[in-house]
Amino acid sequence: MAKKITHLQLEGKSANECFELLYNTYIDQLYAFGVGMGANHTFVKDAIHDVFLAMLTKKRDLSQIRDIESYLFRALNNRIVDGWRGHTQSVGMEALVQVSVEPSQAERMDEAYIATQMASHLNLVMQQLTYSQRSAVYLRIVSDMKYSQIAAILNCTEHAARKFVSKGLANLRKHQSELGKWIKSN
Amino acid sequence: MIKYLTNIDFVLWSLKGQPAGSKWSSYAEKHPGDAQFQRALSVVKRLSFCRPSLSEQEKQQLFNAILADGGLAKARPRSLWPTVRRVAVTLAACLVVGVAGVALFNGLNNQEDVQAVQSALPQLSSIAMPESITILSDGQQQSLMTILARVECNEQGDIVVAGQRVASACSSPFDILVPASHRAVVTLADNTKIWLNENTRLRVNSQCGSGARSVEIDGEGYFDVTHNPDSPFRVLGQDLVAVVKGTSFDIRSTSAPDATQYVVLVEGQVDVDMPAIGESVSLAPSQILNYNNDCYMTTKTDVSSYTSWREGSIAISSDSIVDVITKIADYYAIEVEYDAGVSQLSCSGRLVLFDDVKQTLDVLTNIIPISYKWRGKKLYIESN
Repeated sequence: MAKKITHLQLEGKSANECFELLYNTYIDQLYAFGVGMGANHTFVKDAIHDVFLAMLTKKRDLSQIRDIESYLFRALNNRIVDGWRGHTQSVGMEALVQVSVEPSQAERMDEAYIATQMASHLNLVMQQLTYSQRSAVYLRIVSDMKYSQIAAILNCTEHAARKFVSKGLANLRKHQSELGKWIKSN
Repeated sequence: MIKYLTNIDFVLWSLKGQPAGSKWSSYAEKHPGDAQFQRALSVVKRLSFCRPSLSEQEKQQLFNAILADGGLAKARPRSLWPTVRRVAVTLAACLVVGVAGVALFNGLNNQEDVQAVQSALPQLSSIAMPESITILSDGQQQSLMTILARVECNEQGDIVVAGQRVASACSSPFDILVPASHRAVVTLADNTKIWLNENTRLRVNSQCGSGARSVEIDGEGYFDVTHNPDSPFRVLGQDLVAVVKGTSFDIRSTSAPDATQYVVLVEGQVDVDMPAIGESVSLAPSQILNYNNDCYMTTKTDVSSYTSWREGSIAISSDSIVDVITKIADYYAIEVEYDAGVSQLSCSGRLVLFDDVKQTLDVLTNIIPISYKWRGKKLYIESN
């Protein structure tokens, strides 16, 4: 389960302490989100740098932000989208799903093979979703967020957020059946 | 099994760690005897979401950079020195004096012989890297005064460099050590060609003229293996073993902790064994297998960015200048410092690595708004 910070934990702490706590709690999740959305590693690092720097220099009162988690993801998401508008070149999508490997017996080999194929298939399908669908599915499934949070991050209504997730999943479902044909033929 | 594997809700449920309270977990409880379901479960259990993360050092650097830019701490130029120092310390720690000569043995015909000899030799990764390309055979040490060495072996066990015989009828195995800023091309008796990148150690376990074909590598090498369906060619890396019959591929496998090891297939077919986790994967052309901390992943990739080092150039695709400079610093074994402005820049293309570092840097400064100066042996790079 992802780590979360509440206002209670921030109360009574100095601004710098809050800042450090937030950075340490969310850096991994933000980085994984940025890379998962297809931005290149250096770009994500720069974007995270800018997000936190803005928080630091604008001396924004953290207690005024209702949901700090959504705020951070939204700020990062905006920067990635802005970055893409500036770059006309297509950005390569990083793999979202990987195969982890446990020690296993030789008769499980075919399972490892199917798992490897499934992972590359899922990654390929994820690339075909639109940016909004992909980020909505990612936030819902990987980051386990509520629809209200997704709506806040993607700057849309809750209804639209639900729609992005369900359309994304429908797309995945459609392509998943193609995988079935492949497994059968092998 | 297929009906479960093609159900995206089932796959996602498993990817999320199979939380209780969903219809799938209650199905699993109610039907413990469903063998198809159990098989599908053991397949999807292997899948997980990638959680790419920054190293502790990178996180700290980023944090310091934010504080520095926010005016809360003094800006410090980031230095590559700690990495260089760590590598030096590791090398010093691994320094094993002398190389035991093994001359008591003739004819390598099977795997057991290879292993018996291997146990008598020092571990490949523990051999200290010399300053020039060195060939170790039969306890003899031969240094080559060249940046790019062409080494040829024939079936009689002779090792020939630039037309000159440096060792005759030597019994295998023998080692070739290639330090920083050097390259070597090795041709074995069966006409298999191996390009060795800098900081690479190669042990040829047999002359490859007959019998088992096997080499050991610590570093990076590009292999163009002569086809022989009767005798597979084995490349033993740190955690990876590539088994091929005749193909071209690139392998990077080092003993450095936490380093990602990979195999990139250019053409043909290669089976990669991962003995530590008991798995084996076949790669298709342009596929890469990345292995790190007992996890592996195969994806399609641009082969040229992994093999361009052979032509003495590095392929760059919208990489940060800092990454490019780090590669150059590794190649020429120099120490580099740069100011914060440099990390904002990026570039694409192909950079030829000349013999002289000055020439390479001149090319770079011509196309990117940076300038460099030497402070003693240290290179300092700043943005214009």
